Amino acid sequence: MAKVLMIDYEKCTGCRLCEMVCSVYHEGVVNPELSRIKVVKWEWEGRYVPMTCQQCTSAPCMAICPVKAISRDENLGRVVVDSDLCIGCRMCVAVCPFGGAKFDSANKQIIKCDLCDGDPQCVRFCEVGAIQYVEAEEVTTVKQRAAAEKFSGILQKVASAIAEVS
Amino acid sequence: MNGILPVSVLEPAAEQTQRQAAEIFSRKEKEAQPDVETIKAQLKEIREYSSANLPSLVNLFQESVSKYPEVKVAVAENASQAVSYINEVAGDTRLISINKSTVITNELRPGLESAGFKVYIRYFKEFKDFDKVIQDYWQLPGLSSQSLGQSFEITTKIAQLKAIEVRDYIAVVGVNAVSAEDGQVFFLQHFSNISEDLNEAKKVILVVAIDKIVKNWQDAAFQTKCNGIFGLESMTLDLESRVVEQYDFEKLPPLPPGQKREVHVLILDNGRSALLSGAQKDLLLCLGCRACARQCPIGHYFVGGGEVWSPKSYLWSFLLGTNPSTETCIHCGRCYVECPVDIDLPTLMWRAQFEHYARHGRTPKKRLLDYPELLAKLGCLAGPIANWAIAKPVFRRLIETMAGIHREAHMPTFHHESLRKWASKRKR
Repeated sequence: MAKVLMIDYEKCTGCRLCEMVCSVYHEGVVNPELSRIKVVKWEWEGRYVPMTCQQCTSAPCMAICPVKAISRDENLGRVVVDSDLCIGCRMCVAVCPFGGAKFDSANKQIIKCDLCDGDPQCVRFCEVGAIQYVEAEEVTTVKQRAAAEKFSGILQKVASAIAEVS
Repeated sequence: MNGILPVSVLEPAAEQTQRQAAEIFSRKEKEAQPDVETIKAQLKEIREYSSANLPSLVNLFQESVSKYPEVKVAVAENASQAVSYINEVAGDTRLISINKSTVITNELRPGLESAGFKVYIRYFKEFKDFDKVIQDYWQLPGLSSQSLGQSFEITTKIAQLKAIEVRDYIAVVGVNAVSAEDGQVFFLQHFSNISEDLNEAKKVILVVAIDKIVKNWQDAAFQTKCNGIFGLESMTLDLESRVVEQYDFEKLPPLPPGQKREVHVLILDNGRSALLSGAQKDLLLCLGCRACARQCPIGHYFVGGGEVWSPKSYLWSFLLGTNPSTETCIHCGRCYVECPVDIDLPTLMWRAQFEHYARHGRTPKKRLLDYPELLAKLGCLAGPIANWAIAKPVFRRLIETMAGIHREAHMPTFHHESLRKWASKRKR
C-alpha cells in the first residue's frame, strides 16, 4: 500500500511555509500561485486547512481528460499529469471537487501535487507536523486512536459523574 | 458610473472548490450544498423572467450601456445590418477574430466572410495537435450529479481595456450574459482566447443577442456559470484538433503605443423578438449551454470543421432560413432530457418543420416518401422483382439520387402476396 499525505487541521498554524517550499522545489521561485498545496484560511476563526490533491483512486480528472494525459502511478499511489500530452483545456480544474489541479497561466499547463516523487517537501519543512507522509493504513489507526481517546475520556467523565452521584 | 464598461470573464478555477472542500473537511456540522435541481430551478426562474420581459430588458440594457462614454452602442435588426455595422467600424482592417459563440459562428460569420473579412476562431489555435479520445457521451463520467457549482469563477475582471500590446485586428465576440441594470458583460472561457482578444484587439465588438440580457449582474454571473456547469461535457466532446484554416494572431506585430482602442456593443435581434408571439417562444429560454448537443445521436454528423453545432442552433438556423430542413432530427428526445431549462426541442423541431411545409408545400419526392403505405403497396405489386432490384447496387444508387434513400439503408423485403390474402386462402 502506498503512502499518503495525512493532514491534521488542528495543528496547522497557517504559516504557509509549505506553499513556499513547494513552489521553490517545483518551479525554482517563491510564488504561492505556483504551489501545489494551498492553505485555505479563515483568519477570524483561526481555522487553517492545507488543501492539496487527494490522489483519488477513481479520479474525476482522469476520467474527463480528453487526451488521457492524466494517469495513476500505482507505485507511489499518485495521480500524474503528462505535460507533453496536456493541451491545457482545464477540464480537470473544473471537475476536481477538491480544487487539487491548478492552471499555470504563464506556462499554460496544469500543475498538481506529485508527492515530490516520494519525498514531499511540505512534510519535510512543516514545523508543527500538520502534514505527515504516512502509510495509508496508518491514517486509519491514528484516527481510530484519536476517536478512542475521545470516547474513553467521555466514558471516564461519565464514570466519575456516576461515582459522584452515588 | 465612471465610464468603464465592466467585463468579467469566468473560467474553471480551483479556489472556490478548494475553499468549499476545506470547509467540509474542517467543520463539524456540514452545510447542505446546492444540488443540481436547485441550480436548475434558479436558472429557470432567471430565464423565464428574461424571456417574459424581453422588450423592456432590451431598452433598459441599451440605456444603461449608453451611460458609459467610451462605449459605442448599436442595434441591429438582422444579421446583414450587423455585418454592415461591423464593416463600417472596421475601416481598413480586414482581419477578424471570433469566439465560439453560436450567435457569431452561425449567424454572423457567413455574412462577414462574404463582406470580404478574414474570419478565424482563435479558440482552435490554442490547442496543440492531439488524438481525440472521447468520442461520445457514454465515455464521459457522470458529471452533472457532482457538485460543479463552485467550479467556474470570475477570474479576470477587465475594468479597463489596457493598451499594452494592441494588434491590428478586430475581435467580434459573442457574450454569454449581460446585465440590464448596469450593463455588465460576462464571458465564459476555458482557455485564454477571449481574454487575449479583449486585451489585444484594436477594436472590440461585443455582440449581445437580445436573449442574453438578464435582470441584474448576479443573474448574469449565475447564468454564465451555468453555461459552464451544464455545458461542460459538450465542451469536452467538442475538443478536437481540427483541420480548419488558422491564423497566428501572436505573430501580428504590436501597433505603436498610444493607440486608442474602441469598444462597441452591438445589440442583435435577428428574429428573436418575433419569437415572442409565435409557437417557438420557448427557444427564448435557452441560455446557450449546448447541453442538448451532449447526447444527440445525429450530432456527430454535423460536427467538424469550424462550425459550432447544437440541436438548438440546428433549429434556430432553420427558423432563420439558413438551413433547409430539420428532417435529420429523429425526435429521440435526449436533448429534452438534458436541457437544464426544459425546452422541448423535439416538439419545437417538428412543429417548425410542419409550419414550413404548410407554408411552402412539399416537394414531390417528399410527398412520395411521406406515404410508406403506398410505397409498400407498389413494392408488393412488383413483388420479387422489387427485391431483386433492391439487392442490386446499381438500382440502389439510382434510388439514392432519385428518392434520397441512402444506398446502405436497410430496406424491407416485399412479398407479392399480402398477409390478408394469405390468411383468407388458409383453411380453418
